[in-house]
Amino acid sequence: MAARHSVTEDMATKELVIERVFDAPRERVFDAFTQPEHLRKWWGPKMVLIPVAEFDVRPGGKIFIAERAPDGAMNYIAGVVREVERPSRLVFAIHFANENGERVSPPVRSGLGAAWDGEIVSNVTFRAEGQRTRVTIRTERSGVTAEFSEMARLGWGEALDKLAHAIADDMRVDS
Amino acid sequence: MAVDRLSLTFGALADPTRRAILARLAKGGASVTEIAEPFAMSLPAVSKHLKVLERAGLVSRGREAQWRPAALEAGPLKEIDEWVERYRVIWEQRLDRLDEYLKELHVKEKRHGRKA
Repeated sequence: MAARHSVTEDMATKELVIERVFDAPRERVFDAFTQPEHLRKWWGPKMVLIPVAEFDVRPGGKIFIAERAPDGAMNYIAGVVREVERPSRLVFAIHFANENGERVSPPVRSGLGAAWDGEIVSNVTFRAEGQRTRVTIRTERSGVTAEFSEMARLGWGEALDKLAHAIADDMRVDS
Repeated sequence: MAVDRLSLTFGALADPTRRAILARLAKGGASVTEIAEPFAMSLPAVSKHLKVLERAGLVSRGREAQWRPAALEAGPLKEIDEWVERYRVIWEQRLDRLDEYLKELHVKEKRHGRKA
């Protein structure tokens, strides 16, 4: 497994940035990312089926994704497309929903508190690099993690990093 | 991890004064009086903030009745970080699958003799 991301680095940035280069032209990647018949092939983990996928790729367009876990449990994601510039840019916001697409509390396994009612805003750029395409997903830490940058500003990053190391050391001693 | 603990943490962190108190405690434990000093805040006001932080598990209080020094507990903040880490993993795996899928599409296309 890759080295765990440093706590300090996570907290020092206002966004979570995930990047990947695909060996395919930009239009192809953009469409695979946004067209429901493609999206359902990669959105969920291997054993999770996506019986319903709506991704209306235009500003204000509706997003609705139904995920069925192997045990039959359903999870619904709903949201809205905010900005689109095919094939270079996409901004969308999603939240946990019920089968009618109405916002609900995060499911327990999401790891988020039941009272959390924020939405997750992702800003995706598709940049051509020759025949390849670099996809960068920037996720705002609003709601979930806006406090992080503030804590970092206050000099918390180092303290937390130390703590993380201390915990790791403890676990080594225990095992 | 308790389900509501993260909500409590977010709630406690939402207030700038409480974040400043945490920043003060990051430098070391302190009594209510010591905490109140730089904020020009009443002791009861500081105590109230400390109670919120304590409920969220961000701060622990000493046993001495008079002093009750407060100390930082960074565990809950680590949980937020773990959530971010989990979210990152979800997307990394999604992009792995997207990569595989794009390759599949490419192979299919070749088989059908079309140009990419």
